[in-house]
Amino acid sequence: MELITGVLGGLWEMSGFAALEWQNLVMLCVAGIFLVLAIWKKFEPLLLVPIAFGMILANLPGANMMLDTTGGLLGDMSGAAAVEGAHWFDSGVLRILYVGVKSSVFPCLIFMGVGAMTDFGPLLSNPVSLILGAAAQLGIYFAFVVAILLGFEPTEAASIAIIGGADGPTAIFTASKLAAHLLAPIALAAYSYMALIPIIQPPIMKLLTTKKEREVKMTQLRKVSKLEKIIFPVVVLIVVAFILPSAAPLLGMLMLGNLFKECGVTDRLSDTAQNALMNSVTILLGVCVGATANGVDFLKTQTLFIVLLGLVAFTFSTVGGLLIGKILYIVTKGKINPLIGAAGVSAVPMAARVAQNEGRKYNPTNFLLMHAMGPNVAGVIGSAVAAGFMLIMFGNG
Amino acid sequence: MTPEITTALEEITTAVAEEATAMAGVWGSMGGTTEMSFLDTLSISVIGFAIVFAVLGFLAIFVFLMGRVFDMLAKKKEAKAEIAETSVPAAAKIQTGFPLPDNQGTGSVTLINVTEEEAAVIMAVTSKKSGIPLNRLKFNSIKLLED
Repeated sequence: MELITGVLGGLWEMSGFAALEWQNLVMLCVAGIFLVLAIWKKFEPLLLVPIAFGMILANLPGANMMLDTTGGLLGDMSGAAAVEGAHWFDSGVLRILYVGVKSSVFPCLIFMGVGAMTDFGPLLSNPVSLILGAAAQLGIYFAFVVAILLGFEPTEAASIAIIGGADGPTAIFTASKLAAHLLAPIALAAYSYMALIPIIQPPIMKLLTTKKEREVKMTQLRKVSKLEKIIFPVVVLIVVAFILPSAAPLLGMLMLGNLFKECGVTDRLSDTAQNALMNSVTILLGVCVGATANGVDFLKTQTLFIVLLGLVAFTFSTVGGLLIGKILYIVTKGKINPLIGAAGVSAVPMAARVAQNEGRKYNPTNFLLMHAMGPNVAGVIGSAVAAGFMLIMFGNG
Repeated sequence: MTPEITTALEEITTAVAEEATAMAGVWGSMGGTTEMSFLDTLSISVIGFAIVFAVLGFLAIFVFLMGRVFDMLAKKKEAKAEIAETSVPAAAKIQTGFPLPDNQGTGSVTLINVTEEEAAVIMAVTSKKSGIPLNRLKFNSIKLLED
């Protein structure tokens, strides 16, 4: 009898139920909501499913999938001491994979895939897209000011503000260099808001534009030659990296991927970058980002502030793009639909799709997608430039 | 507090401040600390936003100019092609420009002891059996064999 109670007692103590904290339960519920949004509402399932599942894995009590036995070498910022006699490979499987996030390898590889999938043609045929892409970085600087006012340190404020660029890899890249202890909430907020673009942007678009502006049909884009598409990535990289060398890792990978696509002699590499590599890294990055949301470390007032600041940054980035869009509408005497300005937040191609859908709501014959892709890809460059500026200002270059 | 303790505390404070400066990039090299005034924050934000505009604005100008140059080159190429097209002789144009119907052909064929009707039948049968349309076949001569 003693043996039975001993075994059962031991099993209970080792089970997840005994180690369960209320924070884990909350995070499991949040993961459940994310899964519902991804699977049934189809909100960016490619991002949300791995993130949500990573959250589930990280909040299974006792599973220790994010355990860092090295005392922080693998990115655990909780201050836990190293486990005596344990090797790095004794750490949790997700913690080991997390090195790809912490070292910025995953964000850079994702950027290569994004580059290989990006067509800069719409941007090249309408250079004003770059101005819209720049305007849509307003939220970054607005959120930076608010974060400082809320008491965050400059490095933390800069990392949080980059969420406004609506670019997950850029946010992770910046946070890992400036405020690694905030990587989890920043990454989660950035990816969650990217996935929730179809909910966040339309009310702002409706609020800031008139019906007449939303109905504007834009003229056909000029045809861009292959040589222009080859020259562009090389020139952008050189120009930006000379001004802001800290932006080179992200932009370098983005433009390398794009050159694979455009040069016409590296089809196999382009195919790998935009399919096999991109999909593999998306899975790893998504699961690792989700796994950083361990309820016990995650549910703090600071996290709430970060999530709210992310929303503020995102909102003001949309506002910035729309306002410059409105100015261009006036300057060009109604030739530019201001809705494409909202696509300047760099979530590719979600933001462009939202502009397209909103445009069609008010004019079913309108087809804004290609026009919105210009500011959308310009936003990727813009957010990388903004991140480069923050890194030079507050980081080690 | 003894002078030793005061000196030690001052040393620690200086060391911490130096460490923060070393980690803080341009901001640190300007003597900035983790405490930022509202004015400094606003100034950095404005400068940062201006830099994003300047970089992307420069790229926009570059793209615009590159587009102009490529458009000009494309127009020149088109104009050259048009000139080349107009200088081609009219007869050559007719030969290559208009594809004939499948049951018609051009050129001449030498008939030796064969009537035109017989030659037409032979050509039609050849086309039918070979599956090659008449406008793709070339007959040099059709000759009646004596035996």
